[in-house]
Amino acid sequence: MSCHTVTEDSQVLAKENKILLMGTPNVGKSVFFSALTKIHVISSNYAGTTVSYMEGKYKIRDKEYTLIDVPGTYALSATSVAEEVAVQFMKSNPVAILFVLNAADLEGSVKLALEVLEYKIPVIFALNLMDVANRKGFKINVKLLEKELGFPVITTVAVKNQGIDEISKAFEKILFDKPTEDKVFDPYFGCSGCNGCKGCGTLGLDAWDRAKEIVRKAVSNTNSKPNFLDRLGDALIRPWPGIPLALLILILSLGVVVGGGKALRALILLPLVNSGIVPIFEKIITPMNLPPILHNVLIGEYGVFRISFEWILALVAPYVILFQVQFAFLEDSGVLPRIAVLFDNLMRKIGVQGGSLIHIFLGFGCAVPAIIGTRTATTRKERLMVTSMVCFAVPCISQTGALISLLSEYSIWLLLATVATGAAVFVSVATILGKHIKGEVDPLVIEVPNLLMPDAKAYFKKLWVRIKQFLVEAEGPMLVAVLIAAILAETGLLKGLGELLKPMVSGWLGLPEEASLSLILGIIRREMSVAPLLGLSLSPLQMYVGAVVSLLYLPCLSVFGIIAKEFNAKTAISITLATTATAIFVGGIMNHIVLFAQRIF
Amino acid sequence: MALVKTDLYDAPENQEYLVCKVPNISILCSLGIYPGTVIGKIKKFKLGGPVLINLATRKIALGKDIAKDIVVTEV
Repeated sequence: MSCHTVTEDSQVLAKENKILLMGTPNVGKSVFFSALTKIHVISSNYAGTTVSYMEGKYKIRDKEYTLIDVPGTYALSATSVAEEVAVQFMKSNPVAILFVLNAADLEGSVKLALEVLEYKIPVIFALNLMDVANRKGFKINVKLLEKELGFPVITTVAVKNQGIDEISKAFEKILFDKPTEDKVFDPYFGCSGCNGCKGCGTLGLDAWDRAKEIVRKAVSNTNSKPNFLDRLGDALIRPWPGIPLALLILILSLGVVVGGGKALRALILLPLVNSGIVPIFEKIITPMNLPPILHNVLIGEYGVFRISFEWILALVAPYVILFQVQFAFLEDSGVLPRIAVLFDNLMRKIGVQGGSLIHIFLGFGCAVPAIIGTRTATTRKERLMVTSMVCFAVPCISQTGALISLLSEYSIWLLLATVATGAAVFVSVATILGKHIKGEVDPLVIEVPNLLMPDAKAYFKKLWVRIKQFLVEAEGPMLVAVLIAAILAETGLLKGLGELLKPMVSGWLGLPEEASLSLILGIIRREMSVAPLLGLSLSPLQMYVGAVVSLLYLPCLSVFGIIAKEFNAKTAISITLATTATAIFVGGIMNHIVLFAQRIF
Repeated sequence: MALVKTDLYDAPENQEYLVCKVPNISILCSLGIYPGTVIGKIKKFKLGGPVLINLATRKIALGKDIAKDIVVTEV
């Protein structure tokens, strides 16, 4: 799998005038990247948000540099895909490095910094998270730190934009001004006279000893009392009250998405579409006197200009928006790693580890970032397992929105039955794959970050980026899907297709013939496998079966693409075939079990 | 006082330990867990859950199967 990263990175690696942005995971590198390049990247409060790299243009005194947001690592020993990427960049002749130090946990940061310094590249240090360090009562002697590290150290609170300008000024100095005598840097000044001890570089033990020594000298602890966030952070990681609190958080989040989404849909978005947008297009298109087929394709019952707005804006968008509202908060606060720790025992029993929960939660937003996120997994088996679990039984938020619309209008119990079926498949997939995929899953090793109150500005920016991303990325494939639906419906092809799939759709699954449209459109986007069911008047059993099939049905085209890219085409095809077979099999079995039960009672 | 060696998983909670032996997993060294480090065991999670430790200013959770392989003595 690593060969993909290599080929894909070669162009960037060859670029000149690169400045690398480095540091341990979760110190806010991405925030610096956004601030310096004006490109917005997503940052969160857990290790591993940037698993791939990001590049952007960074101007220093009218000269353009390429700033690269290298994934955060704890070491430069290439033990995970993220570390491999970092090492490759270090070896690609960058002109300078912006290294972000974690003021609230200096030891680990300084140790990685020492490893980076061995590459003899000029560095500017940003001592970030100063606010958290102050809260914890750490006093840091910046002058001493500068002396020990040999390069300028600038204190920052990146989310509040403090210290950002000073960084550019510091870069001007080291890149354009001639070095002064006393600033000539010797990376081995602390290590002189050693006869190649085995620690340096290989084990990193020597780096640890020096890091501890530096931190002991530079940091004094004033032992401040833990504040509310510290105490809440501790409470959230103890089973009591952590587990009830975690469940409460999850139920509240679900409540916000389901309840709020329904309200948003009924009160604002549906009226907006039905009496605002669609009539406008009717007024434009009707006077054109187009041939009936074309008119219907454009604005008929399945018309592009009717259905696309109805499905994107009224059906899916409310849930997507509210999901992002609460998920962005969960990510930034540092709650997710705590949930990973609390539920590691359960995850371990089904063959993965607690840390995978973070990827699975991501999957409830969209499977694509979830699958890319599994790059932080240390074994291929774990990556493959989590990817499959997400593809099989974790609906993306667009699909969840559509499922909620379909099921909860009738009864919350239908929704719960579908969730239970999905959970059963989820556990089965994990158990079966755990037994049959070769290799191992490494146990949980996770750093628990400090609990943070998300910064309002950063939070809203992230929210806006994600919602915009949804609207842009969803729109294209949606329009294609809707166009296909309209053409199939208007040309009568749908009828023929229904005839063809009738034995399976009607005979086995017990759904009306028109439901075959779901199976066709579901290939393009996941929520499209639900949307066509909404217009049919289905019985409760048909709704349930339809929901189960759509939930388990193959991942969308983008997911197929990302699996092929991250693994290979064979894996993507296998997962697609397996999910489709499972969907049809489980849906049909459940249909027949319920029918059988109905006949008896 | 005799040095009693035990694995981190079964060692009593709320106590400081000196790490004697770690399994060959590179992320442990990267995080600063290697022979000679002093760590504080905060707690063990039930039902095969992880061990939560304090190491300098950070908190780290280690899965049961790793904690079982880490040998420590009391300090």
